[in-house]
Amino acid sequence: MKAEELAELIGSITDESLIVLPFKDRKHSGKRTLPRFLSRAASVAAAAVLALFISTTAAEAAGVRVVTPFVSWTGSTLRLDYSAGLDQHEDAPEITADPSHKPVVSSIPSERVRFTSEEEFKARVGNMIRLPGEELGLEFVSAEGSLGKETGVISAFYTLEGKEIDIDFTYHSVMLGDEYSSRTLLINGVSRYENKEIAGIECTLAYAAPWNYISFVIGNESYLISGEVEMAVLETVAGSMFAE
Amino acid sequence: MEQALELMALLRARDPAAVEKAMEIYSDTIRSVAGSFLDDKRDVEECVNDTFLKLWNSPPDDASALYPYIISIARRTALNSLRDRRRGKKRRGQLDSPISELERIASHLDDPFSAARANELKELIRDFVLSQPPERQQIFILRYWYQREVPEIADRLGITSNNVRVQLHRMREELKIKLKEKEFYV
Repeated sequence: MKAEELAELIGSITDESLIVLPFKDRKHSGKRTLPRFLSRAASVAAAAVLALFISTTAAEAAGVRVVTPFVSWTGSTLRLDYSAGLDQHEDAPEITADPSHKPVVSSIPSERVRFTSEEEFKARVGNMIRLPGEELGLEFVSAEGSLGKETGVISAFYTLEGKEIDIDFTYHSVMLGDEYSSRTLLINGVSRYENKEIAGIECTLAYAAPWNYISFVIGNESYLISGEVEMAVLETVAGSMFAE
Repeated sequence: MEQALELMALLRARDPAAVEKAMEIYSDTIRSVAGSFLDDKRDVEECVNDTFLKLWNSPPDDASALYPYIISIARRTALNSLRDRRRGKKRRGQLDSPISELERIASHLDDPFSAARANELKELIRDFVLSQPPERQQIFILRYWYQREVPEIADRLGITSNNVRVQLHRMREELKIKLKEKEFYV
């Protein structure tokens, strides 16, 4: 079977419980539904415009010459109504990430960040977390995550000779035990695990071709490096992050 | 079902009231589906309107097929709109598109399928997704139904991209096991 056919098959699932997703927990994402009076007004406006189009085409099909100018059914009325509705409701609360996903993360609100500039990224987090060595030739793509006073989670994306390498950083206000590197165990389908000391730091290596993973803890920081590259490449990246 | 029958009757009679009826029944769902594909509110509304216009121009054959038919139109319309917007944009990770991820499973599935066998496969995947915890359901649906990029999914759910990637990898491996059990996987 072709992948596109499998994708179409998945796309034909229509269970409302699956495809209607919970409200986005992003600021300014807007309401999923309009306030009742605007919803009705927008619906009536849209129905009227669409009905005009339909009656026009139906009349023309019946051989009757229609003189009423055709009004585009994607006309401005509907958009204005919708936009007006949104403008009045730009007060969606900022919701922080669900802390239950990260067992050690505190519930103190954190700041969502996104970086597309390596300079800005380094300037902001360079003193807080370990970065890969510049001599490796990793090309920074972007980084995003949450920064808080006590905890933070950042995912940074790099490429190395066209291959993706991702580095997840997590820092906490408390020292982490070795069990935290068991984050790697999230990965089912790992062909084998290996504990290995790299530049004096105990690491967990997880082979899950084509993606490989290295996880380690340094004090109150935990890292998960992964990429569609040989494990030796990830070991080099990890090693470059251990230098004091 | 009663509402669907009523709507079908209006559509067959080419009664313009069908449009308002359809909007009354399905607007919120269609808007939610479109809104999960598209970020721009105007694109969402255009998709909603396109969906109802296509329904008017080409209604399904029977009332029982009305809901999946409308969802299918909305999804295709939103997906085309999303692809138009992505075209020309620099995309990180061309290699990890949702289609290329499914290739690893699809290449092991029998082909061609009878309609009954295809439906059986669809039900297996559906049941598999329904059996997942809520967050994993969302990750699967966002990636393979909505074809969203991994960073977008991570941002929406407030988790890291690597976590998303790991969960997807894990679900694909678990799905392979299910497919093997039901002798779909060769």
